[in-house]
Amino acid sequence: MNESSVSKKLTPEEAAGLLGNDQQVQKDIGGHKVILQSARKPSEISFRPFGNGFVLTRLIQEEDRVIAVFESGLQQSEHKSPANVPNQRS
Amino acid sequence: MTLRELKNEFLFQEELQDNFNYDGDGNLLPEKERRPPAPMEPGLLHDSLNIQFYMLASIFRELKERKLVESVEDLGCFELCTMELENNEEVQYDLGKMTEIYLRNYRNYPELQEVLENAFNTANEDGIKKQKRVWYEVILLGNVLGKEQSSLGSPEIIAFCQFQNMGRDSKGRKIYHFGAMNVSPDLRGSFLGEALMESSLSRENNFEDNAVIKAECDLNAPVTQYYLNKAGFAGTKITRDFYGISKLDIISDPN
Repeated sequence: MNESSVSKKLTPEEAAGLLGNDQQVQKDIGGHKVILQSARKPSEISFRPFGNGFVLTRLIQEEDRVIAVFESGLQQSEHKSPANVPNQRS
Repeated sequence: MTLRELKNEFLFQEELQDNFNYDGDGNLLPEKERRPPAPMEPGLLHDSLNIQFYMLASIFRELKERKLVESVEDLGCFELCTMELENNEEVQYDLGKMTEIYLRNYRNYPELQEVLENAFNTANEDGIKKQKRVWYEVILLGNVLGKEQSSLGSPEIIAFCQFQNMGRDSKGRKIYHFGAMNVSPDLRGSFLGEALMESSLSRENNFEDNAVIKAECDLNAPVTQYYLNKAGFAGTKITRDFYGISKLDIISDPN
């Protein structure tokens, strides 16, 4: 996943430049469809791209916002959560 | 308390101890005449333990920030161990220590304490039966001061996480679930948790090439950015966790 991920190579400045003043944009980078989305904090990110084959590959923290980067075309295994002990809260 | 104050406090305690070994003129006594360290009361031992915890954690944080250490073991006073769930006294002792840390991390949720403890115990009992869970523990070694006997006594578990073998996917790759990441609340912000994650994930990946690792995380926790931006995970969906709170399902898929 890492090697095929294009979002890992994006600098915060590049991500901000691609997003501009929009709240969400879709771009084509190196053959990958990428959605960049701006939110005030992570809990306000809209995860609608998940249903369309996108996965969240990057969270870029800026001073007053966070930029979420979704990518498509990355292969995913079917997920099945175990009855697991939860992580500690931060 | 600053690092300098902690060091001074620690040196003061060491000095007190050393005074038992000198005569009134400051000459070192023959070994037979030296007084053994006085047994410390539980409260004092706890204070002393905490001071040393803070000191070592501060030093680790400092070195980690400067990228002078990578693994938890680089400092020489912590050890990364694995523990397979088996029904024996040693495992039960370690699980007891883990439960203490785990419940202390949730002390702000008293209404959940009993449920949490039951969930933790049930998961471990299940793990013992199926032998599919491996715990990674960060141990604070007892002889951190280069002495045969330090006030720390026996090694202490200070952080832990778990890998659960979930079988194989359709391509034959092993799937692990990574979770139950806990650091002693005394050591928050020391980067020991991050170092534990890095070391344990790296070890699991090396043990099994092309293994798929799954986990869940709190979207608002800073560690989520670490998972996505550095550790190679990708978020796949939002679900509800044990408490009905939103969490992000993440996956590290090498292919």
